[in-house]
Amino acid sequence: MITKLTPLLSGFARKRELWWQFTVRAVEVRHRGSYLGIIWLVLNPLLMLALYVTVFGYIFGSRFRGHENETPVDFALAVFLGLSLFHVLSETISAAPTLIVGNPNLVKKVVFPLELLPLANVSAYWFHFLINMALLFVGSFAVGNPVSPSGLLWMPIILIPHILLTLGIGWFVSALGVFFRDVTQITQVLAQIILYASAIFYSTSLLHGVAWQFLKWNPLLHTIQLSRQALLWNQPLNLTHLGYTWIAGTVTCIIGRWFFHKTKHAFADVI
Amino acid sequence: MSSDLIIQADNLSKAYRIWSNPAARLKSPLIEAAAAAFPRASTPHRALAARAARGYRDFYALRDVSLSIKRGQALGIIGRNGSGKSTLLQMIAGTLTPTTGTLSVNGRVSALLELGSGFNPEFTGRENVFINGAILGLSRAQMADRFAAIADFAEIGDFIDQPVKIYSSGMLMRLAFAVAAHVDPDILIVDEALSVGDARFQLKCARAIDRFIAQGVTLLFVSHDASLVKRLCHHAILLEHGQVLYAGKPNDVVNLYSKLLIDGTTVESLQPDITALKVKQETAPSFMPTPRDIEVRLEPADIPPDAQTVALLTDEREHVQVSGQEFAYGGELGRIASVTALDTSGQPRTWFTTGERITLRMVVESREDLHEPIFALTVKNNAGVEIYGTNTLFSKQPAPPMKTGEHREVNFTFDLNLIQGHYFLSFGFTHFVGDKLVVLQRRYDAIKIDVHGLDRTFGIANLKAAITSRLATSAP
Repeated sequence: MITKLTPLLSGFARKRELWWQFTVRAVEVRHRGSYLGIIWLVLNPLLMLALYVTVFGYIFGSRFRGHENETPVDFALAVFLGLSLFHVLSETISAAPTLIVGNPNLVKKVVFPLELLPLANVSAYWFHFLINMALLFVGSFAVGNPVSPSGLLWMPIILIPHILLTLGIGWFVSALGVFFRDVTQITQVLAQIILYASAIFYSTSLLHGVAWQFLKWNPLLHTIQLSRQALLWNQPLNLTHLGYTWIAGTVTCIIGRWFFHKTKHAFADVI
Repeated sequence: MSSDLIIQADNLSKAYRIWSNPAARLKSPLIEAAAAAFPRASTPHRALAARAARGYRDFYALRDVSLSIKRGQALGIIGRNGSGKSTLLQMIAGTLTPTTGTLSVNGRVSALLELGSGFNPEFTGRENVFINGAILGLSRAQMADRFAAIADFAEIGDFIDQPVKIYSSGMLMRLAFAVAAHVDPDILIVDEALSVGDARFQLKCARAIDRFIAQGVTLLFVSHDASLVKRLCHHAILLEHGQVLYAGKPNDVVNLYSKLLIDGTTVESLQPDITALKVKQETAPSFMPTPRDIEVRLEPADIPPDAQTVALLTDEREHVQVSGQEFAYGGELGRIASVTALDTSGQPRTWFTTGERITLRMVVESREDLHEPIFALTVKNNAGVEIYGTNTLFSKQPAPPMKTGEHREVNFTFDLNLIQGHYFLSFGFTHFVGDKLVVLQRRYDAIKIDVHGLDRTFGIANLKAAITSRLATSAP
């Protein structure tokens, strides 16, 4: 029989519960139904890493000159780190426009804290990032050039602005995508632009003049450079750049959250 | 406000802005905001406001609806498609925000607004159960406790671990209902949900709903199934064009609705009926057992009773045995002049014993030539269940044509094989013009009769079983 008067979860506990379930879902959904299932979580980035080592390290022979005696594997690991950070952002941008539109039931049929949808998605991408980081550690140990422990301590401080940035963009783009279906078209191009504008395959030291004048405003470029310097190259960090990423991340997050909050009540009207 | 009131709505309106395109939804408010920056009378203000207004037009899905529902009541909501039922329910469920007016809902709402709403097709039934529970505010542990009961109720077997996208609509609904039934709602909203699933599951749902009502759960029920509304609900409202046309007993509301469905009926042409029903509500105290009373206020649609209607109704009450519940319409081209219940000796009576022979007499008057008039009778019990209905066409006892101005006495004679209780008799006088049924006059629930039992036999019909027993001579 039905027991009466189950205590309702408080607002926060309910949202945490939902956030967790939707994050787990967002992680699972990518491998759902595939034969290897959860193994893909590790296998996918591993294949990516192997590809970079081969192509950039051995075929192109590129180097960042991050430190002396940089090996092809070192270079590939740096590219891998940069790409992992980039992927969190690019996946956020490409999935966000259809995130709300793709869940009309949650918008129209039930009372659902919609801000959790972008949040859960971004959380899932960061979970993937953590797996990539684990591989990076293993890889760096394997080649005898382990990541710097002091750099590891810096990582949260370097990454939090990027977390804020991806969240803000997730909220902003998903809300915008409800009203402008064209956003989907733009985000693909945008992801490509960000890929080449974030010093993933080249070092920021190559940037001069006009290019630098523009690209220095890209917070992802700094986040990538800073995390390489901290983790892989043992270089002193540019605190101005770090401060800038914090400002950019915080402002983006606040604007995104504000925009989502302001437009949320109108979703049901146009979906 | 009394704490007993679980839902209280005051002048609730929902205007849908029909946006010329999704982008206008974002642009127009921005332009309006820009307009607000200028002085009200200035040219830029007017230009911008006009520009903003071009992005949309307003459509009122619901207008000035006021109602208050007490804890534990079952309210039926009836109306044609697009009359605002879903909008009202969605606002109560909290997925739509009212444009104007206030709404307070004090309790957990479990809504079955549409098939498997809130289910994600990619995920299994099991996962969806937990996600749905979380949406409704239950923790994973709480849902785990109930999972077995939910799976058991839904009766979908191993499909519970299959993605919901492969479910049939019946399975989806069963699971959705099972979840909704196990999250301890204070308010349960059921929108057309019971129309899917086989008869056995429908019965199961109906029983679950009965149990909810007994437990004090408030039920909001939307259905086109009039008999279900009458059976489940204590009260009903009829919505039309976003307004409450009438609020009252389910039986009256369903009758009014059935008239509304006839081609060419407009809200205006229904006004006399509504007025009559309202007068009846005021003058004749209900003798039907209503377990819990509901207050539905009708400020906007309130119309002062038409003096003629009141006179007509009072006149008929004095001369004809009426049930105090009657609801009639038609009467221009033909009229049911009187209706009477008679016993075998031809004496008018309103009480009978079970099995007694009864004659129901109606005197009709035609005001045009009728090629084949149809005379109809319906017997309903006090729960609104139709016990028996027949007419001259269905029973293949055609009536001869009638001339203008002719009066005719029609007798329905039968054995009253009904269990003790109150019964309501409705009469109809119709005919066909080509293929179109024209209602000359219908008088719903015109007579109320009481049937007295002779023993403690129960049910609806008295089938008068002869029960014999004897010693079985051979072993089975």
